[in-house]
Amino acid sequence: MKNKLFKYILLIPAFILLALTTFYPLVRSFWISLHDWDLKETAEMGPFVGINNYLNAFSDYQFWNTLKATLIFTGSTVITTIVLSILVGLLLSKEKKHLSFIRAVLIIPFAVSPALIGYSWRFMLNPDYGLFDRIIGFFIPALSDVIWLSHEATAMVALVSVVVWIFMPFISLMFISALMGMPKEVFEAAKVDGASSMQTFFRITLPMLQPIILIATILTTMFTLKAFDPIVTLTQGGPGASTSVLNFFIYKTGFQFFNLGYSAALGYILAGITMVVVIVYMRRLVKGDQWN
Amino acid sequence: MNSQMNLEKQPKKAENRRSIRKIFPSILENISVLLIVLFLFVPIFWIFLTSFKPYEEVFTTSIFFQPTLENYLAVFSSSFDLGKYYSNSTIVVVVTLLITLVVSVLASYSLSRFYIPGKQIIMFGILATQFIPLIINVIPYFVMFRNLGLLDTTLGLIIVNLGHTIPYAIWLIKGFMDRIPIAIEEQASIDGASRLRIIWSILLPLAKPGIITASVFCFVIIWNEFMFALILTNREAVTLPVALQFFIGEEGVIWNQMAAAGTLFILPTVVFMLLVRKQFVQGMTSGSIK
Repeated sequence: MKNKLFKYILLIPAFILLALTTFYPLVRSFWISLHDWDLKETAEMGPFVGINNYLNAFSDYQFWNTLKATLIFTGSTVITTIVLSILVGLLLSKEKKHLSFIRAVLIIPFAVSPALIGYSWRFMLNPDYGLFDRIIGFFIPALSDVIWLSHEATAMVALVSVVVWIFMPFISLMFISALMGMPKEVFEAAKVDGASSMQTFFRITLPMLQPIILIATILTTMFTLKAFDPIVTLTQGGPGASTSVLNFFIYKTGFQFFNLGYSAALGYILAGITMVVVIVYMRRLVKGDQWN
Repeated sequence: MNSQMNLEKQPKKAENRRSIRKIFPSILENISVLLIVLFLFVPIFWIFLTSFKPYEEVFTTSIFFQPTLENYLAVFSSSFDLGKYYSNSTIVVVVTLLITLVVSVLASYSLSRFYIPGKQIIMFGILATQFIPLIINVIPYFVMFRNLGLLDTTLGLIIVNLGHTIPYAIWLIKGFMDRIPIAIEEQASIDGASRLRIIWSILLPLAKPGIITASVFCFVIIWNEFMFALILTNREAVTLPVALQFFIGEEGVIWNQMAAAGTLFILPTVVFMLLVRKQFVQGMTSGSIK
């Protein structure tokens, strides 16, 4: 009897805090999304409009542009991050002294502020004195006159490269720890059987990595859909609206145009998209488990 | 940086003696490793270097210049007041972290050790709050804080950050507690130790790697947290990541001073991360794979 009470008492502080700091705002935000509320005009919530804010999104051309930017941004970031991280994992998971040193410092970018990195990219891509701009211009002279942040395509490339920089070290570490934990006998057996390194990679390594690739993809997708800091500090959504992804568009709608009702509705649309993506991946993950 | 590049070159020399068939792939491999290291560390190195540059040198890509500490002095002067933002960030991190750890350890213990109806759903629900884009929460927070007078206060930021850190902390710490055999506690409880005493003197030391992992993870999240601070503060309670924008003025960006502030800003998280790196990486990777 004493135990029964005790276990709930332990849970109570965390639950009260989570209820107040997360669940309550979520519900309140949903309620706001059902109302018309322009903070510039009134300090109090406006009239109840049902799902109008949600319907408005679908006839808002800006929303569709934003959705397109989100798709391009998320797709390229996730694919680049996962492919590069597998590559980094393969390169760094060997038992060599200098590699173990690099593995040790690989976590550093994870600790660095994404906002600061956004600014530093802006500094380094400056066409007059930017280091990256110089380096790229030196190796690929055709790109030496590109003003990175003033063209739609190159601004997106810049933004993706920042976000890849932020996520890649952590995801690489997941692959490294998976690769280093793989049984060596399998690879020795493959070698004895005369498998080429390409065959070994596609027939053995990749299938064994599959569950981790899925988890890494889920994590990267979720974090990319929520990316915010580098967009504010690097591109501000520009040029035009080319890098204005949904999360940033919600911020602008809510806190630059103060259209709170619409902003909350857009927030729930983004939440819906995230949930759908996560569930699709999760189902693949569960299926994959049954196969093994 | 330099020592890393030296480390790169040594194995190359040794490998030159091997058969031609092996040389090419291994050179390619070393170049790739070098490119990765450059991609990840040049940006950090460049911020660090720029922070010692006198103003005239900022707009060049020179590496050789007369280093100066002027920028560091400038960011602490009254015109920028880095000290204030540093103390704001520190207050928010310390208080949030303390509350997070206490409530998460208690909750994780309960979730790890007892039968609780709907435990799976509770755990998933806790995690699901982090799938949801946090901008949704900021909208009602903005309205509530305005009514309560909590806009632009560190207390406001602490409240918002708690909702962000507790879910991660519970997941990480519970994962570790699950792996501690229950028999140890049973022995202690037969010996007559009270439950809280068992948590404090037996379980906590054993769960230390998990608690360290969770602390570092939450520390990094709160220290670098940008969106809440951008929206919910404007002068008094501004934290370091948001304060960086004050270097963007009408005449352009004062890059060298921003770099100095940035270097001091990333120092604690980087040092902390390197100190507990092994435990952190193990904790995060094994936790996420499990």
